[in-house]
Formats: sequence, C-alpha cells, structure tokens
Amino acid sequence: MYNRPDIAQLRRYVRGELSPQQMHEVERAAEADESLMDVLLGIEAEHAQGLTHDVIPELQQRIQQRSHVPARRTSSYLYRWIGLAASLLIVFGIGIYVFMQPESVQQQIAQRIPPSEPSNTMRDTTSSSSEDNTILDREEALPTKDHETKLAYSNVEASASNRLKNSDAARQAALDTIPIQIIPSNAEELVSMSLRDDHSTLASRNSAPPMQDRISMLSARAGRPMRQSNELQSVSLQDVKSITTGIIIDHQTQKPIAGALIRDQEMNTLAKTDSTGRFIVGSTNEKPVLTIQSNGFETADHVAEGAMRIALKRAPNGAATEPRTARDVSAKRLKSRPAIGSQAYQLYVNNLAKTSALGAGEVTLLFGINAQGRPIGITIKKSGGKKRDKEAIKILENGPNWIKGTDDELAEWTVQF
Amino acid sequence: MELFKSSKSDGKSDELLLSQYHESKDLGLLGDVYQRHTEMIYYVCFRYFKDSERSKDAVMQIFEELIGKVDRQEIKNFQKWIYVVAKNHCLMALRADKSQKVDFSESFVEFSVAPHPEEDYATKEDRLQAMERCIEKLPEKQKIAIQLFFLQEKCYKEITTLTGYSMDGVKSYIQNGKRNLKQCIEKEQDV
Repeated sequence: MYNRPDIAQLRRYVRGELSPQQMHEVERAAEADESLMDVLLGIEAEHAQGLTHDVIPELQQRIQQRSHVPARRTSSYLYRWIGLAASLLIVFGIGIYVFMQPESVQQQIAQRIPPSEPSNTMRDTTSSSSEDNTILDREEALPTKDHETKLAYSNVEASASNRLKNSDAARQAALDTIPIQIIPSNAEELVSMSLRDDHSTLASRNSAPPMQDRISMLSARAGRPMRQSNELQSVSLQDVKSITTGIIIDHQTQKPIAGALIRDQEMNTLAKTDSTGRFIVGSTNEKPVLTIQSNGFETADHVAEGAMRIALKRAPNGAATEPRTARDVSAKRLKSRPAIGSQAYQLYVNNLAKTSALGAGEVTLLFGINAQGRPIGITIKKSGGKKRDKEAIKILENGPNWIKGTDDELAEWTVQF
Repeated sequence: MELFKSSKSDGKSDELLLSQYHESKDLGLLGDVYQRHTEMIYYVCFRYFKDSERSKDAVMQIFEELIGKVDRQEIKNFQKWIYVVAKNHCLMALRADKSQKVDFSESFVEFSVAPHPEEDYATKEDRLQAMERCIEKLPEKQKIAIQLFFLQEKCYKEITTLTGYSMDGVKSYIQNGKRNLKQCIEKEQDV
C-alpha cells in the first residue's frame, strides 16, 4: 500500500518538485482516499490562483481565540462585576460620608453629653414660686456668674465653613445641608418652647397650668411683662438681608451645645440651636450682632459672618452665667458701628481720603443710620476744610453699611486725610 | 503517517480529547482537536469554493457547526467524520448559492474498492480475472488511462505526455474508468 502523504509533500507535488514515481504515489494515495483527493485538488486550485500566503496560522489563531473565548469571557465578566461592585461601593461610601456621617457623628456627640455638663437651657433668674424653686434647685449645681459681654469678631475656627462665609450661594448651600431649627420670633413662644422642652419632666410631675397662664408665668419669669413681647420683632422673609448659620460648641470639650439662644440685638429676634448645636437666624441687617447665651457658659457677642463656628467658654466654677433677658438686651445701649468692623472701615475710609490728595487733615462727621444701614443726615462736627469736608461726606455716603445702634445717638466718625 | 496533525498535539488522540471535551465541556479541547485538521478542512473548502476568504469563513462556520454536532453524534474517527461534515457544508453552501452551477457528479471522488484481506487466494484470483475482463470492456481512453496509471504506475503528467490527453482529461478518464470498472466487477460477481 501507498503511504499517506503529508501536506508538505502534497505542496511539493503541486509545485512539480517530486519525481514521477513520487508523484504517482501521491496520486495513488489520493485515488484511494477521497478526502486526500479533495485536499490535493484544493491545493492545486490554490496554486493555480497564485496564492502563496499561508493562511493556516491565521485560521488556527482564529480557532484558538474562538475556542478559548468562554473562559476569557468569564474572566472578563468577573472583573467587570468586581469593577461595578467597587464603583458602587465608592459611590455608596461617598454618599454616606457626605449626607450621613457629619450629622450622625454630631448627633452621637450630642447624645454623649453627660448629665454633669452645663445645662443649655435658659435659666430663670426672677422666679420665686415653688415650682420655680424646684427648677432652681435642679439647676443650683450649675455655675452662675455675671457675664461680661464682649463684642468681637467671630472666632471662627478653621473649618470648611470658612469657605462658605459671605457667600449667598454658600448660605443657600448651608441652608440645604445643615440641619437647622428655625425658631419663631414670638418671644413667649420661644421661651416657653425652650423651657417646656428642657423641663418637661419636671412639668409632668406638677399640675400643668393652662397654656396661656403658663406662657404668662414664663414670660414673667423671663423678667418682662407680656407686652414686652412686642419688643421682639417678627422678621418677614422679604425683609431678610442676611441669613446666618452656624454651630455653637463648648470651647473646652468641642462638643455642640444644644438649646443655646442666639439673639439678634438689632432686631430682637431669637433662634435656638438644635440637638447638634446648629442654628440659623435671619436678619434685616447684613452684619447683625448676635448674642449667644447658654447656661453655664459665658455669653458672647459675635458679628454674623455667614457660616459660623462659635466656641463658648465655660463660666468659672461656682458662678452661673445669667442669660440675658429681653430687658437686659434692651437695657444695653449699643452704639452705631460699621457693619464690616471698625478697623476695616477705618482702613477703607482713610485710604480713600489719602488718595484724594487733599493734604493732611481731619474731618469729624455726625450722622444717623437708616433702616438700610446707610449714613444719613451727615453733618460736620469738626471741619478740616471745605474740600476735605465735602470729600469726607462723599466717602461716607458711598462707603459700606453701618449697623444702627440702640443708643438713639448720632454716629460719629473721623476721616483722616 | 499522520497527515494533518497539528504541531501543538500533545500526544493525545482526537478521540481522547473529544472524550475529555464531553466530560468538561471545555471548548478549548474541541478547538485543539479542530486545529489539527484545519489545513485539511481549508483545502477541502478551497477545492469547492475556489476562494480563499470564503474558505476561511467556512472553516470557522464548520467549527460552529461542530460545537452543536459533536454532542449529538458518536464519533469513532474524527478525521473522517470532520471531512464529511466539511464537505457537506461546502456542497450545501454551493447548492444554496444559486449563482454557481456545480456538476457534483464530476466533483465527487469515488472511494476505491475496499480491500478484502480476509479473502483467500482463489477468490482474489477470480477478482483479478474479472477486473482484467472489465478493463478490456472500458472505453479506449479510460482503458489506456487506467492501465497506465494502475498497472504501469505512471503519474498523471507522464500519462499526458504518453497519450497527449490533457491533465483534466487524464483525471477524468481515471475516475470514470474506476467507476465503470467497479460496476463491471460487481456485475461479474453477481453472475
């Protein structure tokens, strides 16, 4: 029998490289094997077309790719699923960090405030009733001290909130993201809410008086008659020029203080911090002065600056801070002052005065402040010359806003040329 | 001699690899078997299509057919089996291609007469005598071509030189002569 030729021999046959005997052997094998004959005819057809490129490696590669695709697909799917899971995890984590974590952490901090911590509620100073004695007995352990009021720029600590201040968009963002508690401007309701919240347990032990009587009683305890509620202004949203948000924290422990009162001295509006120590207060002034009060802490005044972080110092042991009542605030006489602060205003005014090149001199002006914080009725108290007087008035008229004081006196400012 | 074995063969037979494929369903095993016969399948397809690209596509299509068929059929000789599958695929494709007219009777190659190793000397002698009688009965060109090719062991090229027939003519005479010879011998045996 004839040996079955291999593909190389078939190609040599087609190329005419075999001897007649070898060619005959190939032909006999092909005649005996139909498949071999087909292959031989195929090679001859390829040769006739002049095709010299060996396509077999290409075909084998395609078969290899096709036959091993499922395994690769499985691997690819695996990596794809892992990638997808990782992406979802990252997105989920960011979501939790952005929306959940800050609030939850602060809530945990608030919840961890031990009972020995100073109470954050308003403290009654004038009550003498038995019920009030009960409350006072409960609060006697708290430090009390006549506080020293100070007016200072907010000691805003370095935080992300710094980036948001003085920005309307940032304020809106703060409104959208910071959990806040808006307290109605009605004083009686505010005080009653505060006290009712903080002393609900005690109140439940005693027979609760009718609500109206209770409000009257609480108002009396707050050191002012009912009619004084009119001293607190209702702020219409349309009149709001600035919205201040922030957080009140204990300077020592850095924990948030819940229930601290924030009072706008100009408008006599009130706000109270929520359980996370956050607050929001609207004002008709761009730079309202806020008085922050909380039992056991020194009362502090701060000029509102967008998003604030205010750390209250604890009152010394044995001395309880008496929170200001509306009467206290009304009794305090504040002078009119530049909204941007005296130093900044002085720098602004004096720079303009010096650039006017009118020579050295001083002009002292007297003026009132309108509801919009603009200087009005500017008069010369001490002249520095006609030109300088005129320039000084112009500088004030075009300068930054003022905060109207409660002393009902004209504001005074000296422009140095 | 293993004709179209792949150089990547790891020594396992086609049938063993197929058996492993049936157990594991690892398509890579089937691919390995198929790659051993890629050349044969390609040239079989080229023999019918006369087109390289179409033949390459057919090789891949046959592999796809293979995936479905290999589970449904018992394969004892993969090389022969895949050849039949490939050839049928090509013929079906040509039949579906209305633009091509193929005379399949000319294209098909008849299988040679099967050997009969078990038959005794007398029977063999009878068959040889019958074959000699049948050769004499063949048409002249077929008879000459058959005698030169099978008895005198001349190759196609030598036959063309000796007879002046064309190459295609020689192949055709040999094929037709074989077919007629087979029919004649079977008829003689029946008588």
